Amino acid sequence: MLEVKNLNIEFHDDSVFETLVYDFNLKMEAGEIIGLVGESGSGKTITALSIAGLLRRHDMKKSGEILFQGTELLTCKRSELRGYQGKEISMIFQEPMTSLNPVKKIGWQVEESLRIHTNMSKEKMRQKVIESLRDVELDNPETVYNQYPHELSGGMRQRVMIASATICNPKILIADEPTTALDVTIQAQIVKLLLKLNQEKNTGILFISHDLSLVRQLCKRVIVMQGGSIVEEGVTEKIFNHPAMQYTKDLIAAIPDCKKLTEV
Amino acid sequence: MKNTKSSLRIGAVITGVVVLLLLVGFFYTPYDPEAMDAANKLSGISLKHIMGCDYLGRDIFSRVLTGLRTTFLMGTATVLIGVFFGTLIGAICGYFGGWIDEILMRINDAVFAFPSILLALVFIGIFGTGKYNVILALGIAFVPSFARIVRSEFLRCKNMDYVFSARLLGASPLRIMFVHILPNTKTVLLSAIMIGFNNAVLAEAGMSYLGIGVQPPDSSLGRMLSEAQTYLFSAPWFAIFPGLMIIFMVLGFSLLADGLKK
Repeated sequence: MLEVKNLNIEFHDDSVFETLVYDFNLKMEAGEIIGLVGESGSGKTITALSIAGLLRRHDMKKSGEILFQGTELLTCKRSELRGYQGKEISMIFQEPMTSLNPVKKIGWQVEESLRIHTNMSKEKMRQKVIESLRDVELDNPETVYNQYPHELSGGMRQRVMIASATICNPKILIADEPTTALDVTIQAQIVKLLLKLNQEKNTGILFISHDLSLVRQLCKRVIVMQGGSIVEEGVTEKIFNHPAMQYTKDLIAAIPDCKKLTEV
Repeated sequence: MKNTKSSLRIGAVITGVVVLLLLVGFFYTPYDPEAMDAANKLSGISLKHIMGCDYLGRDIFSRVLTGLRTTFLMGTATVLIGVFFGTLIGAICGYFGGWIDEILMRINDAVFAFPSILLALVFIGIFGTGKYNVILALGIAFVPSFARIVRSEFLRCKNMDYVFSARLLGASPLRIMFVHILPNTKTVLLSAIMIGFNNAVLAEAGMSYLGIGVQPPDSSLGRMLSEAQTYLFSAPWFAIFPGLMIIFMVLGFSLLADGLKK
């Protein structure tokens, strides 16, 4: 469904070129959850942004192909790209505190995607939004509908973000470290929510994280990135149990382990 | 905290009174503001004429009421022109950046370099005097300052995560600019509008004072001040009341803007 072939991303700052992503390849089937791991600065987010079509086209150089159901997203018309964004490909960000517009009501923001991509009547949109707010397990969706972002907690906002990103039933959801800014109990709930979405609506998820234990639970396949290129990829269990590359071993060894800590 | 609240309150009261007088001027003036009465030439404050009469025997209170209306409308129209085009230019420059930003902002700087009164004078020199030309001239002179304010606000907002999420939902650039970002510039824009309105009132008064704004027999506060100049010592009320009205109007809006900023 989604295929990324030999993606290279190069930024030019005045005349100095810097390559951020080398030869990135990815193949994603409908309903698949793929983990993308690596340390900070390894190019995970930039890859995700380019798949979502969010990188401004004029200040960078790209080569390779991003094919979504046969359409080349890197070179297609902007209007065509916008038709996919939010409807077929969606993304949630790491920081729920700033990813909602502070001056607009929650209901309005979740409706935005419907307003852009469909011709629903106001009342229908309202119902659909409340339904999707209920789907992300928010209590009192009717109240939340009329609230402003500053009235909600971080976990609630991340739920709202998920509701807003998935209201059009996208085929691909890119989750860029969706749990990093949340505390542990909320993390588990959000991950459960993503799993539920994946199972009920068959949404493919590209799960970007540096929380390896989370990736291990959630993803069937995992891609390890370092310094802009793919170091290793394959079935999660295999990679976790028998990492081939030193970098992957180091990453796995970096998972804090209570037993080891107490021994020291 | 207490300070801003009281300035908001005082500003609201003063502005309220001024607006009330303005509205009253639409329906009722004690005398015809243009009716001359030779017997009452430059007569002082009395029960019949609470602000006295001017050099043609016209009732100053009636003329202040109608003049207030002219001045207020001209100020509003000027600011509207300035805000509309300023927001448009500022939004485009701030959001898109690049060469379009360079070109528009350099033109903007060039306009900004002229004092607004001078620009308006040039404009009127070319197109002739009259109320509407003054509005247009001052409006154009006001565009650059609004454009700058809006541009800097857009620069601040355009890399916010919520703008990313809006782009991600497939919103078009125009929609992002005016539906998503613009409401976030509300507080800054609002106080800029208030200050701009004051400047517009003062500029209009200044231009009418110079004799290039509102033409007789229409009244405007600035025009009245200019007419009163000769009689400053013999009939001070002629100048004092229109002047006070300008001061109240500007003061009220300044306080209001100050209170709203917080």
